[in-house]
Amino acid sequence: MEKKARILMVDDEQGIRDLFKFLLEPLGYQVFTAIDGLEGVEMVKKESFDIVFLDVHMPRMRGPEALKVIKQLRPNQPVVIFSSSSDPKHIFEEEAKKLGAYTCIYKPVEIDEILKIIEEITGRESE
Amino acid sequence: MGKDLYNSVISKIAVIAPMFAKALVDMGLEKYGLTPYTVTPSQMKRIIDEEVFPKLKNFIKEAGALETIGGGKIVFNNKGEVVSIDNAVKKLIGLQPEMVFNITSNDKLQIKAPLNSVLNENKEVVIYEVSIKEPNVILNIAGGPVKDGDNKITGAMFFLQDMTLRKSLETEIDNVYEKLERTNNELKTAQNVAMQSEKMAAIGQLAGGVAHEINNPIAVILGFSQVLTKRLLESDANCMPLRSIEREALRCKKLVNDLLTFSRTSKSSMEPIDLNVAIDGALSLVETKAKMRNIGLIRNFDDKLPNITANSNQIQQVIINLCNNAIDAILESASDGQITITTKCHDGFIEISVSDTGSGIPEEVRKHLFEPFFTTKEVGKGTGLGLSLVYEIVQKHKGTIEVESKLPVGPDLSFKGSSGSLPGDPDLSFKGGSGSLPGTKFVVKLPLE
Repeated sequence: MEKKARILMVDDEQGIRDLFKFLLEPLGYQVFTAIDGLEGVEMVKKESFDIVFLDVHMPRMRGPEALKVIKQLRPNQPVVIFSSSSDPKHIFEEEAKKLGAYTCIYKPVEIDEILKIIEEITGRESE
Repeated sequence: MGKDLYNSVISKIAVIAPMFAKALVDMGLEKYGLTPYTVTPSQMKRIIDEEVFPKLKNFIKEAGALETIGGGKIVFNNKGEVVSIDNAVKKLIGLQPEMVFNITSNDKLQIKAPLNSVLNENKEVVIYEVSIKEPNVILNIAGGPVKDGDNKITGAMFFLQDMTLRKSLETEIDNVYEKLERTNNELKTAQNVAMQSEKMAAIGQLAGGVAHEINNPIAVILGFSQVLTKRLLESDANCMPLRSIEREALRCKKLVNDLLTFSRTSKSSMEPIDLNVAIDGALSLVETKAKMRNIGLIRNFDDKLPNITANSNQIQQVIINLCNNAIDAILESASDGQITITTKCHDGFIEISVSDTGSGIPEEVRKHLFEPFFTTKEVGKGTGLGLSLVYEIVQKHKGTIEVESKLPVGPDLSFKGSSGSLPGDPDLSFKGGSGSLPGTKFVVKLPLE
């Protein structure tokens, strides 16, 4: 079996972390989780991942700070910001992109959208 | 208001007693410890009745002008002929000497009938008020029979009292009352408006925070239900409930989105938008309310509607206000009804119409429809700003708004309030009753640039 991507999911909500594992592990992905920005950054330091999903509002280190640090550690690391406030004006998305995020998705997000993004990013990498 | 009441009362009294008017009123105020600024209309009335008028008579007596105030009497014999008239009365009603004995024939005093009932119909007392044109006086007239020792009617006596000053003071006080009440109401409404917008701002913030918090739980519910739905076979019994969960979670998602959009402080950003999307967003906020009351919401959207430069939040506000009014109208008519929202493109305009099957707009309300603060609802239930806001927003978009309304009984009445004309100045044009159902339809027309 072809080795599928390693995905890091950083979110302080238990439900969100469980959801990602439940969705992606049966599809062959390796899912790792962190409970906040600080832990997430530590994990990125130690290991490499194909995609990092980053929540915004977390204790100890918020999404945007974590993004900066991650980009310093690994400039090419694809990071998807996973925000919980819908932003029809896409202001947040533009800022996140400036900071180096691949894209921004908004909770509650439909499963298909998550899968699509993963395929896009991993599809690119396998070229 | 300041000293307005005080000043106007004094100026009226000064007509009769220029030297004493201010002194009389001031004495009255002092007795009750009031000042020209603090006296209320009811207090002023009391002072006039109890302090001013009695003293006025005395002052005038001493100034020799008793005849101008108070009154006098007319004596009739039992044939209804004038026996005597006080000079005061003559002066009061502007009677020429030669007319004295014709007083009943020209009946300036409307005294003929009362006199008759006293002399011939055994009426013991008659009291009435009469208003005369030349001179301009209002009289209080009281009359009764004159009887001899054997209780036989020998004549009648009528007393005339000049009420003119008193009446005009009363009218003055009534006017002040009215003004006060109106100002009070306006103040209350302004207060309500301020409170409302403060509340709205607070709610906006709250909604923003809550929406944010709700998005996480909804994400989990939606996510798990979708994953499971994907993995189960159609034939699995759990498929249906899971689909249900997914559907309702999606519904929550939409509601929260719409709430958030609505709660954002709307800067005046006019940008090209799809009206159908904006209106649909607003309707999802109205839907719950409508469903709870068994009111159907029907959408008739033109799917080829071109984009138009507009402020999405404001358009949503228009829809919400019109729909809320529609709901109230239907509830008034005590039936299940429906609201139909239509969009269409026509002649370079986009037409949005909101129509209901409610009780219609009554005649007396129509000319006030778009007036700010005008409401037919009881105090506290409506600010009277809904439609005036709608009107303003439509104006800002350089559009027009038209209304058609039919009462359960009566002709169709349609009228327009178009931008450029004053809100209180709708053109009223009548359409013949067509037997259609009662209800109201608002049509907003926005020009495409």
